[in-house]
Amino acid sequence: MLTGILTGVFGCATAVLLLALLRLWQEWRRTATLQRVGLQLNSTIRRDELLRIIMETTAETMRAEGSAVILADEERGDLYFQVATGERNEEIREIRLAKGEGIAGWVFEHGTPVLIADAARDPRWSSRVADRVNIPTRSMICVPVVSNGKTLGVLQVINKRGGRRFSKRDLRLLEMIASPAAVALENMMLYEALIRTMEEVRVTTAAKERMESELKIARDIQRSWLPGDSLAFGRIELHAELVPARVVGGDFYHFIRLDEHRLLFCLGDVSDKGMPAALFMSGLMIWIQAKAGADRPPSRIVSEINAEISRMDSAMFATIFLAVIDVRTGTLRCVDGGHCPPLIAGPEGVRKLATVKKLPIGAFGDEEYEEAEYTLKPGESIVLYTDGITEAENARGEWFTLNRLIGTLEAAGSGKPKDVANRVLEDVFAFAAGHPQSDDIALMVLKFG
Amino acid sequence: MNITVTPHGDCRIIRVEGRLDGITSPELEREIVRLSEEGCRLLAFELDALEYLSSAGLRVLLLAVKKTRAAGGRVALYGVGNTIREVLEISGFLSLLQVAGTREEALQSLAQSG
Repeated sequence: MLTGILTGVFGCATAVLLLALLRLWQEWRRTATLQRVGLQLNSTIRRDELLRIIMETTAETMRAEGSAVILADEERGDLYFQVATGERNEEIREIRLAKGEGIAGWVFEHGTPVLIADAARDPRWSSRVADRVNIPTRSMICVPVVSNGKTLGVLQVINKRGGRRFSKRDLRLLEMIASPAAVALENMMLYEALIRTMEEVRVTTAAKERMESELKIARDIQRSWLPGDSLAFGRIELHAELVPARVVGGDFYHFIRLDEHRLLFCLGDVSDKGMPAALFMSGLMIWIQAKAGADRPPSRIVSEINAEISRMDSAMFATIFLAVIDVRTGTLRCVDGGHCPPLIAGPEGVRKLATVKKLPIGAFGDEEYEEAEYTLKPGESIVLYTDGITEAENARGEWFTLNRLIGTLEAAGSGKPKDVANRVLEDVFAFAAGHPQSDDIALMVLKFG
Repeated sequence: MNITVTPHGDCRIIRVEGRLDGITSPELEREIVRLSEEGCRLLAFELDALEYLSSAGLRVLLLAVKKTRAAGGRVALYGVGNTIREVLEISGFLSLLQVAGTREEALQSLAQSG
C-alpha cells in the first residue's frame, strides 16, 4: 500500500515535473521562434523581399498552407495584397479590398484579431480572394498589424497543414509575429517615403536647374544686346548700369555712334517685368539699331520704331528717352516717350530737363514724336534713369523718390560718370537696406567735358 | 485693390481703390475685357481712392482706351490725386485720357463724345 502511495505520489510528481518541463520547452521554443522571426524580418527593408520574408516566415512558423500581408493604401483608401506564399503563390499579384470587406477588411477596420474555424461559413469572409486564388479556405487567422498606434494592415494565415484547425495558441503566436512584422513594415514605409522625397527633390532640383540655366542664357542674350557700359567719344564720357529685379528684365539702354561726331543714346522701361519684358526689350534693341542713322533726326527714329512695334491687340509699351548729341558741342536733340524726367547735373546744381512729353512707344502706332533741344555746358551731365530708382522701396514702404536722387547727384558733384552712377546705386541700395528690389533699374550718366 | 463697376446709362463707372500695379492689374484687365465684350464703349474711372499706379496699371488704362476707341467710344477719369496725376503726366498718358474734375463733368464729356 505504501508502495502504491509512493508510486502514486512519485507518478504525480513526475507528471507535474514533465508538464513543467514541457511548458518550459514550449516557452523556450516560442521565444527562439520569435527571435528567429525577428531576425529574419529585420534582414531587409525592400518591399518585395520583406513581404516575401514575412509571408514565408509566418507560414512556416504557423505551419500554414498560405499567408498574406494585406496593407492599407492611404491614398486610395482601400486594402491590397501584393504577393502571397503557399502552393499557388504565383496566382496572386495584386488584389484590392474595400476597408470593411471580407475578414481582412473587418479586422483592419476593428483592429481586433479573428480566428475562424470555418471561413466558408463566416459571413465576414469575402470569397473574392478565395475564388481568384483557388485555395479552398477552411480555417484562418487574421490579426491587425499595428505600429505606433497606427494600423498598417493585417497579417493572415490560411489552413493549418495536415488538415488541422488553428487554435487560440496559434492566434497568440501570430499576434507575436505581427509585432516585429509591423516594425519592419513601418521601416520599409519610412524608407520608401524617404526614397520618394529624394526623387521629388531630384526632379524639382533638375527642373529648377534647367529653368535657372535657361534664365541665365536669357540674361546673357539680353546682356549681349547692350553696347557695353562705358564710352568715351569726343568731349563726352558716359557710363550706364542695368540691374534687373529678376534674372532678366525690361529696362534697357543703348548708345550708338552715328558718325564721327554724333552719338545716339537712349534709356527706357518696358511696361512689365521678367521674361515677357525681356523679349519685348530684345525686339526694341534690334529696332533701335535698325532705325538709328546719321541722316535721321531722333523724332523720326522714335516714330518709326513706334510704328513697327505698336500692335492693336497688345497693350505692351515702353517708355523711352532717346537723344542724339553732337560730341563736339554738347548740343542734343531729344525725344521723350513718356519717360521719367531726365536730370541735368552741373556746377549750378541739379534740375529737370524740359522735354516734349509724348506717349510711350508701342501704345499707338500713329503717335507723332517731337524734339526738344538742349546744349550741355562743359562739366554738365545728363542723367537718365528708370522708376526702379525713384520707386526703390525700403522695409517701411517708403520710396527713394526723385528728391533723394537729386540730393545724391548734388552730393556726388561733378565726378566721373562711373563714380556718379555707382554713388547713385550705392545710395539706392543703402536706402532699401536689403528690402527686395521689385523693379528693374537702369541708369545712364553722360558728361560733357 | 478693390474694383466696383456701376452702370450709368450707356456708361460704366469703374471705381478703383488701393494699388493698381503688376499684382492687381490683371483683375482690372479682366473687368475691362468683360465690359468691352458686353459692348460697353464709354468708361469713367473714379480714382479718388487710387493710391498707386504703376506702369502695369497704365497698361490696363491703355487697354481700356484701345478697346473703347475700337468701338468708337472713350475713357474719362475723375477724382485724380496729385501723385496719380504726376504718373499720368510723366508717362504722357494725359494726352490720351480725358481728365475731369467731377463725376458729372466726366459723364457729360463722355455723353457728348458718344
